[in-house]
Amino acid sequence: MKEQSSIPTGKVQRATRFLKTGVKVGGNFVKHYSKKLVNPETDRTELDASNAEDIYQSLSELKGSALKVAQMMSMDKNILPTAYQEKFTMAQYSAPPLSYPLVVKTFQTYFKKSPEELFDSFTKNAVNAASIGQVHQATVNGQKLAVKIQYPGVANSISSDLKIVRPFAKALFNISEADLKHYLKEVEERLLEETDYELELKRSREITEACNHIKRLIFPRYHPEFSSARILTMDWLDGHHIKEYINTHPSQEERDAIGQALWDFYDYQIHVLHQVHADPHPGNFLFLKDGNVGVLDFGCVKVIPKKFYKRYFLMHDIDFVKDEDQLKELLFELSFLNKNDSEKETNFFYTIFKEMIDLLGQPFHNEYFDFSDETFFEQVYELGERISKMKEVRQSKSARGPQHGLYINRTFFGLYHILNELKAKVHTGKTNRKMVN
Amino acid sequence: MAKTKDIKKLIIDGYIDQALVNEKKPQNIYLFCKDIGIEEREFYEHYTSMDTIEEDIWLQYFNSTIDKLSKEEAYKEYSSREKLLAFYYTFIEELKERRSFVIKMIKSKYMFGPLSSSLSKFREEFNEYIKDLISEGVKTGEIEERHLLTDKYYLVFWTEFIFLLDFWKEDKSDKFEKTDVAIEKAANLSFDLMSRNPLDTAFDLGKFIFQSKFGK
Repeated sequence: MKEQSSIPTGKVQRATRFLKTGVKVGGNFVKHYSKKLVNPETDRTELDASNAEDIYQSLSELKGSALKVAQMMSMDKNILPTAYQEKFTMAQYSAPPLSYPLVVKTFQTYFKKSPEELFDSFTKNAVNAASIGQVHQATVNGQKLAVKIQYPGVANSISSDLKIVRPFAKALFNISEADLKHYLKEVEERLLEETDYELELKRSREITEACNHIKRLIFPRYHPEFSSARILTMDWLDGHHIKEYINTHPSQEERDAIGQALWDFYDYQIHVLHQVHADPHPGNFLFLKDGNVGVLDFGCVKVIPKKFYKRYFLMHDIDFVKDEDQLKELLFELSFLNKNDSEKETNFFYTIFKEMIDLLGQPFHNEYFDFSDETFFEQVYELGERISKMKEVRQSKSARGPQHGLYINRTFFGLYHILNELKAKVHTGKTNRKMVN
Repeated sequence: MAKTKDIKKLIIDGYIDQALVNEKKPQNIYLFCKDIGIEEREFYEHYTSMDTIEEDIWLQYFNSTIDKLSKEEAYKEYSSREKLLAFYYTFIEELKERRSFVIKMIKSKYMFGPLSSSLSKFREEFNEYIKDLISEGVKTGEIEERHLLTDKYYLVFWTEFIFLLDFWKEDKSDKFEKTDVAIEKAANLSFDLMSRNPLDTAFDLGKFIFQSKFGK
């Protein structure tokens, strides 16, 4: 992999980068339509694929928050055409590294020692790229460690990055201006938190200690003595990513057990801890040889406010959502519906949200849920597709839904997606929700 | 010997202190010696004028940078590009110890001109160091040997160095992180330009066409 020398930090430079992409994407459209003139059969898949390629290229050069946005977008499967998804999922695994002298310099700044002095061994090249940093492998007393080092200047460039991403994302993903604003504000907050490795260390330890009792889950130990604002050190876990794990043909019981562990993990975080690992993308789970699953990266944690918690999770209560008046009132409170809406709009959006709640809530509304059920996922994608095409939705001036819901939804999407890949059947009725209410 | 070194240190510390406290560099050698409590004779054993003190301070920064680098195990195995990066990071780190004084020195108007006397000795050493890096890079193939040009590369690095110094002077970011990014960018740009790149291919083609048409 060619080492990328630097992150284009200046706004102008970054804008140029995006502009280039814009031109390329434009070019792809021209190609697409000229092909179509010759051969009317050409479908959009090819076009989407070449767009995704170009967009990914520029995003990976941007690193930092732009790459993070790519990751997020790739998570929300329902708003992305398949070609975009595949390219963007790549963003979850690789980005070009920074130079080694800068790594040494970072260690000098925070520990007054070079990595060689601090560890018994330390890989000169990054073994993996995290979205806002890179991971090196180290050893101390025979223990393998993963050392995450943050790119300098990332925290400062987040705001200007997101401003650039805005028009681009809007055009690409068909989101209304209001929704996007809403969305990006929340994203910005989370991203800023993510650059704070001291916070991440604190949260990692809190959550992993609290969830230690859940069977089959493994968390790396964190090492505060090797961590600082820009460096985070934890035990190295050896394991497979989900795709490789599936290729080893684990038995149904195995897959169910792991699926159950993941389900319980998220249930416990949400309903007991009220803060949740909100980044369940496949790269953050490692399947170990002993049949356990390792959970990594507590950079993105969503703290769930009490007031929001009480209302939002009523939607998982099948008896509650059956009552139309009750549900409508809740939707108003959660600002899915607006007091300013006309009656026609209220009815229109009520129907949509009811459909979404019924569909997405299915795992909660049953005692057991089989995530291998492809028709369920097809229905979800179909609904997402259908909604994003409705002109009422696209023209809606107001953002709908509480801002806190964004990361909660993303978490569930990520979890569903992984359970689907695992083809796991999960005892979903076993929840901590009622205990808290 | 220990005593000699002490006096030198006394002079430098006194010089920096007075320059910062009085907002002006000390001018009068007699008064200066009286202030720091040494004989004028002792001053002349080490320096011939006030200007040579500054010259020496810069040189010391250079020497301690090289000293630190040579103690780093990893440094020896670095490519030329990485060595240059390490040099810049370490050097800027050295300067941080005395940032206000260094900024005062840089602010002098003769920084860029041919009169940059206080940097002259530093510059000689820096050029030597860079020339070594370049010939090492040429040997390993990291740097493309270009007729007549290769000998002049070191001049580019001097400009780059002055640019980085200037950037650091203005940098107000947390822990001077922006300077880190600037170093990373600048060093990589210079090495990308010196390694084999499309310009070489273009030149090669141009030469070929020229020779085929007119070279007979």
